[in-house]
Amino acid sequence: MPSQIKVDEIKNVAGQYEIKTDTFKGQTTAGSITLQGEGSATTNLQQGLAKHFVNFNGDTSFGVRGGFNNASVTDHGTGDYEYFFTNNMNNTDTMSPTSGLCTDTQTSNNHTSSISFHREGSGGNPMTTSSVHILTNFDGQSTTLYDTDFVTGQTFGDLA
Amino acid sequence: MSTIVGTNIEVTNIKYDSDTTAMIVSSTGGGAGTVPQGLAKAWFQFNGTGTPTNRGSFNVTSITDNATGNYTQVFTNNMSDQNYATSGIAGGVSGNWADSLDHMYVANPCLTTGVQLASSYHTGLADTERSAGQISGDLA
Repeated sequence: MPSQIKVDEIKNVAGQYEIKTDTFKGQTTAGSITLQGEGSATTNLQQGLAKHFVNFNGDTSFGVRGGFNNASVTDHGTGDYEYFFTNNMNNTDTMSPTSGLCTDTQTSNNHTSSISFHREGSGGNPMTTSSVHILTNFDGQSTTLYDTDFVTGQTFGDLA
Repeated sequence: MSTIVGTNIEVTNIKYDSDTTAMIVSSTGGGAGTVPQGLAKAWFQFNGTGTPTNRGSFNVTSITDNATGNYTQVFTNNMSDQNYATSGIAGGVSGNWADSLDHMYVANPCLTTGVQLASSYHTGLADTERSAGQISGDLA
């Protein structure tokens, strides 16, 4: 049986304390730990954590460079990608992906690249609980998708 | 330095003492990050068409419709200053699914009480059906 310490509050009162453990869990609600913010306000540990990130090459040398909770990335076509989570999100409303940044491979190297959600029909959803579908382009080439070299993304929200 | 070692620690609140500047968390690579600075302080996913609504959010109390493609996300707990970071992604300008990419950016200088965002597609500001964003920085 693993050892357990249950307390209402852990506070540094003098000097520095070090806590070593493999799992942090809320006492009242397992998935909710209140954390003192930088000032007087408090925040929530679980809600503030990024649940996923990925960095991948979306160009000819397609492949994932690194990530966290990222199972895979699918290349659906030019400038059209979908990244998949290892552990799924709870639902598509309480997840908040971000675009990250990307760079194109134009030799002039002076383009601005951008990421948006995948085009869906009205009422459609570029997210599932297991994936986020994105598109990349450059320099306002709004009608032309483009493969980009460094594509990154993060996802916040509620895990399943 | 005191050390507490355990397999599971269940706690309601974690705070660092006033004589420290941050709580350090070791990373898998052997380095260390600081909590709470490494945490997102707010996130949201919203439908910007019609009367804008947040589908899901954290530390956001409301969304204001300022104009076409222009919204303000109002924080529940304010940020300490205007020097925080915002990121986001947009999609779904109604009627333009087939010929555009949608973007989201900060429309005005950040406020401690909220952030004003704009969404667009290639010909200008537009209401987007599904956008999301996050805030990183210091809480008040």
